[in-house]
Amino acid sequence: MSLYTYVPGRSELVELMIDRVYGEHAIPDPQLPWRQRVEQWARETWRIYAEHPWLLDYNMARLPIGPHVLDVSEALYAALLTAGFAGAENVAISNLIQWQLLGAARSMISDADEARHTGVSAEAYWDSRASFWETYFDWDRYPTMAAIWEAGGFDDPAGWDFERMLNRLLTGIEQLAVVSRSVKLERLRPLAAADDAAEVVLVRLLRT
Amino acid sequence: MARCRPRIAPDAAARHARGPSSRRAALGAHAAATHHVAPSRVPACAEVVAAGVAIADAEGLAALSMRKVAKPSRESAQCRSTPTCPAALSWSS
Repeated sequence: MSLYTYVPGRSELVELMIDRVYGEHAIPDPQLPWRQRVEQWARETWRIYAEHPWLLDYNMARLPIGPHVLDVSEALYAALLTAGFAGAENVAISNLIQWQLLGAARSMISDADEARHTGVSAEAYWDSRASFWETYFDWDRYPTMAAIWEAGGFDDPAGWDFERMLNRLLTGIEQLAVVSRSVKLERLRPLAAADDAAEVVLVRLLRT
Repeated sequence: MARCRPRIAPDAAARHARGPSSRRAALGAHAAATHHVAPSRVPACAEVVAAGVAIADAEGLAALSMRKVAKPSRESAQCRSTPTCPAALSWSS
């Protein structure tokens, strides 16, 4: 019995595999506040990247159009809409979150994968190159790096901490939501005085 | 019991594009342009897809081949394409 009876080819199989894996992605409760929903969404995305690192080898800019893939996308768009991001702004913020996660996952998970395969951890790798900093590094040519080094900035493992990265990202987005809301309010105020529909939108915005 | 057969007509994407809404048309046009086949339209056995995931998890995507997937699936990939078969992915699931 030919396998091709079931799946037309390898590329279709990979698309089905991706949709299946996205089916493991828990969808946050829509009743939760937007930031909590995005946090849960990001943790779930991170988990499936960690459990199925081959996803990182796929062109994520061309995800297959499958029901589970779309469920996951819908959940993020909906959470960001609650935050006040609509239309193209929603897509831009959504992409910001997705690309940040994807980039970080490619760096962190790939490094962990390499450590597993070679037996050399990131710490051991950098330790093996310690003599470079003492012998060749030009402290005058790279003053900022030197200052960070002196302050112990490169020793802080927080630079590789997923939760802190996510917290910083969402705090920035939260600030953007506040700015975006106030810009919309400023635009609507003069319109609301003359137009009933604009006044309705303004009242809604003020309530959020 | 009917045997599993690909139910993807050559003009499936075009039919999709003739849907009632412009959004559906846009999605169908995208599918046609990128040669995407919506996963739900493929009556793939879940075992075949699961075998693919297991191979990719263990060996990476580059190691995945149809031949490798066929091996663990050969026995389990018997057709169960009935209206209630969980192997046929569905948009309603």
